[in-house]
Amino acid sequence: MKRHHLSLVLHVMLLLGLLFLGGCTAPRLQHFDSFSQAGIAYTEATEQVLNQALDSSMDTDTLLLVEQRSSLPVSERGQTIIDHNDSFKKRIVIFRDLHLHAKLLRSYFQLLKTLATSDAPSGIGTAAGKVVTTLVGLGDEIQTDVSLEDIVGTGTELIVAQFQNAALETELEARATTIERELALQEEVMREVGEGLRTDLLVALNRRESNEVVMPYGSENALPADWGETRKAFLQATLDSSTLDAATSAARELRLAFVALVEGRFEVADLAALNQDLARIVTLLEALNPQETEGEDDDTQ
Amino acid sequence: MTPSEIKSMTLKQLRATLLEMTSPAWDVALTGKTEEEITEAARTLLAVQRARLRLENEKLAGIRDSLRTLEGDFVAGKNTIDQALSNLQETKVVLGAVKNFLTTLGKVIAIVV
Repeated sequence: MKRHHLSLVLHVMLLLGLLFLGGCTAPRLQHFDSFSQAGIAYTEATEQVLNQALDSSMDTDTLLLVEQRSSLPVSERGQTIIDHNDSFKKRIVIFRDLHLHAKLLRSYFQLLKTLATSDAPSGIGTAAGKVVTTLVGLGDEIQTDVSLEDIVGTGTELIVAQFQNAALETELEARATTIERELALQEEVMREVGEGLRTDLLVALNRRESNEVVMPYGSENALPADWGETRKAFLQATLDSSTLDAATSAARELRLAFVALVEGRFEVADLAALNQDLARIVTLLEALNPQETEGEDDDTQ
Repeated sequence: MTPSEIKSMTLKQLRATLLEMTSPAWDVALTGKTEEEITEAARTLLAVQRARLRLENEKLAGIRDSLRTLEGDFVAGKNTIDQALSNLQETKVVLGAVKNFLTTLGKVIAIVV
């Protein structure tokens, strides 16, 4: 009876110990998982912003070149287009490099997530459970409501979780400076790209207002039949400048979340602002490419 | 003021100038001007656009170069995680740790019970 009581107490103590161990490890793994997921989402949004920025800058440059062509002397047109093309050839290389870098960063976050969410523990736990009896030989001797195999199975999974956690912590420690520097530079990239995109979109809006609304009204010709509707539509179509800051803001939020992760005060709720920024980026890109979005919808129907 | 700050201010000014020179008000102001004046305006507008493109390229190239210096470290990080994942998948490695755990557990139980 005494022997049974002792073993029961021991089992309970072991369970409590393991639960404590698990209680420390599981949230940390979830934090790594959440942060990695946010990093993946951020890099995907970044690539879309880069695509949009390059497209918009080429479109705006083409618009300006076409509009100004008739005002330029024929002798200057050739050199003008060569100079503009040179700038874009360089720009395309830079954006390609930024894309490649974003892909590397995304694959890094994906690996972090894989490590944080590896399902290896369950299989290993089962295998380890079978080892219990042969190693310890106590399975038949200790009779309680909670079997030793259950405890060891749980313990094995927690040991593996500790193994995952240790690997992630080691990586975090080794890469902390690099990741923080990376995210600070990402903020700079998004700020510069965002400002360029804002300018290109505003130039395009300027030209539309001038060509479709203001200049027709000022000319001696009769107004187009749909001029009133065009004017109304233009006046209602405003560019929400704050949306263009979302990419920069997302980079900043990700950096702050990383600092919190390093300092052990990370909360999943910290990513709410980042997720909002990412949603704003998606909304903006959809607004800028309505035809593509409609086409995608059609494909799914 | 640092060279970087001067470039940033110049770029900001170029963007503002471009927006001004593409505005409807600019077009209205050019109405009725001489051909020479309109040609000069077109030259200036495209020159502003080219200067803007060059400065933007320069700034982005600078950041790109800084990002590249970090790539080796990220590749190293990927390799480290890959290795950790391999280790995790190798049941033997983990079971070794488990075996130690179980052995100790068995000894403790044997002593106490």
